[in-house]
Amino acid sequence: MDSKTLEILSVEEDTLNESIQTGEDYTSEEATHNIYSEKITDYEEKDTTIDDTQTHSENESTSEKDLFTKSGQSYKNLSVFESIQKWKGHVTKVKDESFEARLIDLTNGGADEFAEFSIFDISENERESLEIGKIFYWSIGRKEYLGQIEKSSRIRFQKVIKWDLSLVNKVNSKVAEYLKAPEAN
Amino acid sequence: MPTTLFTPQWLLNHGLLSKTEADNAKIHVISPKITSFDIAEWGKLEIRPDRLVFGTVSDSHHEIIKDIVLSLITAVEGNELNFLGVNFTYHFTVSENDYLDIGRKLAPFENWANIISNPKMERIEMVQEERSDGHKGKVRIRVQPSRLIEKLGVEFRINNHFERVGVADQSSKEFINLLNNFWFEAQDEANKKFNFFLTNLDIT
Repeated sequence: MDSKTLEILSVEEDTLNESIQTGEDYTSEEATHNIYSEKITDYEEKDTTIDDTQTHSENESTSEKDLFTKSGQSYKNLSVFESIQKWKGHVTKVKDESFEARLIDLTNGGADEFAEFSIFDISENERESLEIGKIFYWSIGRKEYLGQIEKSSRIRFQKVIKWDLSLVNKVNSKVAEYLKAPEAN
Repeated sequence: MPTTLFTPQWLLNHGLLSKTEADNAKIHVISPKITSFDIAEWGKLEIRPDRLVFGTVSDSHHEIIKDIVLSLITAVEGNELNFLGVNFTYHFTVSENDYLDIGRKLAPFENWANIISNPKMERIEMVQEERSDGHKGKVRIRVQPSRLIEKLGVEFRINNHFERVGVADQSSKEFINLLNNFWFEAQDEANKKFNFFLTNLDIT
C-alpha cells in the first residue's frame, strides 16, 4: 500500500465533500464523525449506531451513507480539504487590520503559541465576531481539486448558545406541544 | 423531539451559524417525520422524533460540530436524553491481497467449509459491552466494505455509545459534561484503535 497516495472521493452535488487524511500506515483515510443524542421515552433500549441496513423511503434516511453520500456514484473531481494542523485560538488583542491570539495546538499539543493574524485572513462574514476573548478554530491544510493542490487556511469563530432560561423555556414549550399532538404518539 | 425545531434559520438566530451558512444551507426535507439539511460542504444535521444526528466529513470541523451539538443539548435542557453516540468512521484503500486478507483474518474462511462455497466476509461487528473508561455504555466496531470508496475501500467504524446514568431531567447536563470531558480522549482513542486494527491485521 502506498502510504503517500491521496485517495480522492467524490460526491454528488447535494452531498458533502470528504476530508481525506493520509497517515503513516495506510493509503488514505477519510474520517467522518457523528455526534448524536436521542430523546427516547417509550422505547426499548436502542443503540447509537447508525443503522444502514434498513430500507429507506425517499427523503427518509438514517444511514451514515445517506448522511454523506449517495449510492452509485463515482469518486472523482471532489474538492477536499485535508487538515494538516489545527489550533484553537483565543483573541487577545484587536488592532485596526490585525489581531493577536493565544493558540492551543489541537494536533500536536505542547505549549501555547502566540500569533498575529491579518483581519483579511478571516472572511467578512466572520469578522463581526472578532473581539477580545473570542475563541476561534484555525486549520491549515490542502485541498485537491481536478488534480491541482492548493494550500489553504480556515478560520471560524466558535459559535455556541449561551444558556438562557427563556430560550430553554421556548424550546421546552415546543417539545411539550409536540408531545401532546396526536401524531407524536 | 419536534423535527421542525432546529432549522438553519433557528441556528442562525441563535448564533450557531453564520448568515452565509444559514442562507446557503441545503434543505433536503422539513417534515414532521424528518428534517434534514446540509451546512456548506462540512456538516449535515438530521432530526427525527427520537434522534438528532450531526455529522461532518471534514476533520477541520470536529470541534465546530461538538460546539453546535453541545448548544443543541443545552437548548433542550430539561428534556429526557437517554443515549449519546460519538462515532468515528475511517475509509481507506488497500491492495487487492489485503482486501481479501481482512476477511480471511477476521472471519477465517475454513470455518465456513461445507457451509457456503467461496465465502467472503461482508461485514463484521464486535462489541465491548462495558466501556473501559468508566462510563456506562458500549463500544462497537464494525468493519465492512467502504460505502464511500468503491474500489478496494474498507470502512472501520467506531461507535462510542453512552447511556444516561442520572435522573432524566438532568440528562442534558450529564451529556454535556460527558461530551466535554470525553472529546479529546475520544479522538485519540479512535485513532489508536484504528492503527491497532491496521497493525494487528498486518495491513501495510
